[in-house]
Amino acid sequence: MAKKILSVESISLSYGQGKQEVRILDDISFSVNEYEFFSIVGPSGCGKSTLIRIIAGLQSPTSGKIVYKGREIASPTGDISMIFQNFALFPWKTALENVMLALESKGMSSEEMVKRGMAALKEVDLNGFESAYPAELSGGMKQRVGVARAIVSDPDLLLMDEPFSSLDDLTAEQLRWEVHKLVKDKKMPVKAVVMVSHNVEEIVELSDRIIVLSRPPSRIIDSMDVKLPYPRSRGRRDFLNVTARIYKDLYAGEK
Amino acid sequence: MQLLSLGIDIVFSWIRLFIALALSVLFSIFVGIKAATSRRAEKVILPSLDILQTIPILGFFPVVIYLIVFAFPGFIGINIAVIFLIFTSMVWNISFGVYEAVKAIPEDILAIAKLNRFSKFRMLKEVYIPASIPRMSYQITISWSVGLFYLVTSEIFSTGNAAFSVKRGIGVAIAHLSLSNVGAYVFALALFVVAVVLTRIFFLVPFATFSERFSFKEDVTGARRSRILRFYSKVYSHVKRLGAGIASALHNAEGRARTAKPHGRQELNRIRRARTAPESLRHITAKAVAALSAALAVLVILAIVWSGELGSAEFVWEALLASFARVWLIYAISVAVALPLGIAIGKSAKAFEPVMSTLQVISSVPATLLLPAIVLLVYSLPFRGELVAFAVIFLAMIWYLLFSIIGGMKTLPKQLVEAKNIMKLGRISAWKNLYIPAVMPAFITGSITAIGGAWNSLIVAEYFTVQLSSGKSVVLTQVGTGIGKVIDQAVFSGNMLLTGMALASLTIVVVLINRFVWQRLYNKVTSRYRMEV
Repeated sequence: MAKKILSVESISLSYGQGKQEVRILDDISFSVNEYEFFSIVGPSGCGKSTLIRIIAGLQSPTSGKIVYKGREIASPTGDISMIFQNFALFPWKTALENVMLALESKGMSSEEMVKRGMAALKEVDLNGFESAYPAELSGGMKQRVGVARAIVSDPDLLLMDEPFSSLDDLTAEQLRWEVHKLVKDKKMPVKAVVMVSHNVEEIVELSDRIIVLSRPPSRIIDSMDVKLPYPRSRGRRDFLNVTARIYKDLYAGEK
Repeated sequence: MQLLSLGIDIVFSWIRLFIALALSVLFSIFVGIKAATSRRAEKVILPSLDILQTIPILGFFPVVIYLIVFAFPGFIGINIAVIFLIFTSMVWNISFGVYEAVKAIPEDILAIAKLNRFSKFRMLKEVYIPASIPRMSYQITISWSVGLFYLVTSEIFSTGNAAFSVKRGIGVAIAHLSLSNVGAYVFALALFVVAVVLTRIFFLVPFATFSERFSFKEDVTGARRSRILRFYSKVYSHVKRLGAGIASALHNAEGRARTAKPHGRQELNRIRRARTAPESLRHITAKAVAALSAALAVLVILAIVWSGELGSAEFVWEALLASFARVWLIYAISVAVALPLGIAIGKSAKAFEPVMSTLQVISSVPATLLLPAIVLLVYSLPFRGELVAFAVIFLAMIWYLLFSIIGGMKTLPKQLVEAKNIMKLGRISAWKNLYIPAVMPAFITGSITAIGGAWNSLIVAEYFTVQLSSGKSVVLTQVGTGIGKVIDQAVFSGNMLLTGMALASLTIVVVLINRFVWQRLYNKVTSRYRMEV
């Protein structure tokens, strides 16, 4: 039996009060099991990025709770890490320094930090780029640093907010498979991934389980397990069946 | 009765301000558009504007008054002098704004104008002027606050000598009231603040709202950077243009990095070489500046040798050194106050709005208006002269620093803060690794304006007399020695040689520091610290 690592329990979020109240998220519940690649898809403005921030403990919901490894959380825990859409690298720090920042709260010696930082950069194919500043790197390389920073602290849960949408198609394709390899490799401590994206093909390519959100006030309008073998080819009929189903959900959600 | 009298004073002062503003706008439209549309004019106008705005204008004021009143005696002359001074404090800022706005007009718009064979006049009316309105509005808000300081200072300043005195004006009124009646002084200050707030509500804010519709983009506040650095940032745009080339180089680099890992370091070196190529361009500018300053230095040495016979050179250099120490010491203290405070204010989302509007009102009261209060406050303390000078210089600097740091915090991308939270960085680490580096570019630009403001304030801070209605002169501020004091005293004792020398050395020192300290720092900081998100 798969072990449950995260459960999202009736999360709702609204802005404003009284008549001006705007409801963004409406009673969202789901759970994520160990070794699961879990994805959330929905139209733009449906609050999926907000949802992942609530899971991370960066933002509080209006009601509902996040239970992570059996404990309710309200602020970042330290063993959940995140990959950001726009990389969120500190421009005044080198690639290595950026990665090492994620170890700072772990109470390690600086030699240990350098060693692990270098190993993480090697993991994402950035050997030799440790002293490069973000401005000297291309978008794809920046996001590799972002990935290295997210995995260097051995997180149990990895959150990804539109991780490939700032990259060109080719680079995104490449990086998607590298991330997939990293998280499916059981040597890595990452136990589960939650990804948010509006790119349906990308979601189907990577995920074990998918939920579809509607327009705000967003509810879960569909959820599915994807059991296709990896690597998944976008042209195959069974792949197209899944994407067709999601597109249909999204169009229905428009009405 | 007193209310009416003060009201009239404010009307007089505000008329001066608006005349100066109107002249500044006219000048800026002409010069800014000319510089932006003609490559040859640009080469002359931009460096000239840059030097002009670096000069400590206030230092020239005693001389300007002298000359203008000499040419137009009485009421007209003195008013021209005051308006001229306010004009010089407002105009460069707006000119740079117009220049940049016209430069930023999208190609498509210009193409349409060309296709329709717009005449020069129509270009002006339909394209250039409307396109500059948003930036003009933004710059006018800044110029207005700067102008307030110059208005009050020049009005009060004129009272130092009965022959050059402005008769009516809020600065004059307050200078007179302050020495006779504390209650009336406070009342006048309050009235001044009311006038400032009303101007904001009925002029600056409506104009800003109106101007938004002329904007090509939504982001009108993109104009945050200091006026002085607009020019430098232009140099930087050359560097940026090369960025496109670098990007494609990087793209290839990435492709190779995937297949050939161990070459990473070589790749990085190659990228670095490509990146530093624009250095050569910067070197050319640096060389030009170096040549110019060498020429100036020779001039100074000549001036010293020449005036050494008169025995005043030592005097000037000693004074300059004293002022230099004063400005930098107080700068250090201001930074120690503004940096933590600005970051803390910028960080907190809740306190931001109320704190900002309060600060804006407080900061609108020019240091010179508070001078009498400061003098009273430290009257019985030792080193009274230095303390008053300290307070005036501090007030002349602190707002520039504080507002630019807060502005810098506002450009901090939210995702970086989220990344910091996810990584659970501690408080000290967050300041060291995130907040302080993030405000660096804004902090440098703020420092440049602040130091400029400080040099300017010396004229008031180091030696200042007020003439009472009875005709008696009262010395409000006085320090041991300082360049501001030398200038003041030289002018009023009619020693034109000493005045000239003091002004020349002050100007040269200020311009050189700008070029060699600040420009370098700015280049260094922006190349790494500017957000690219």
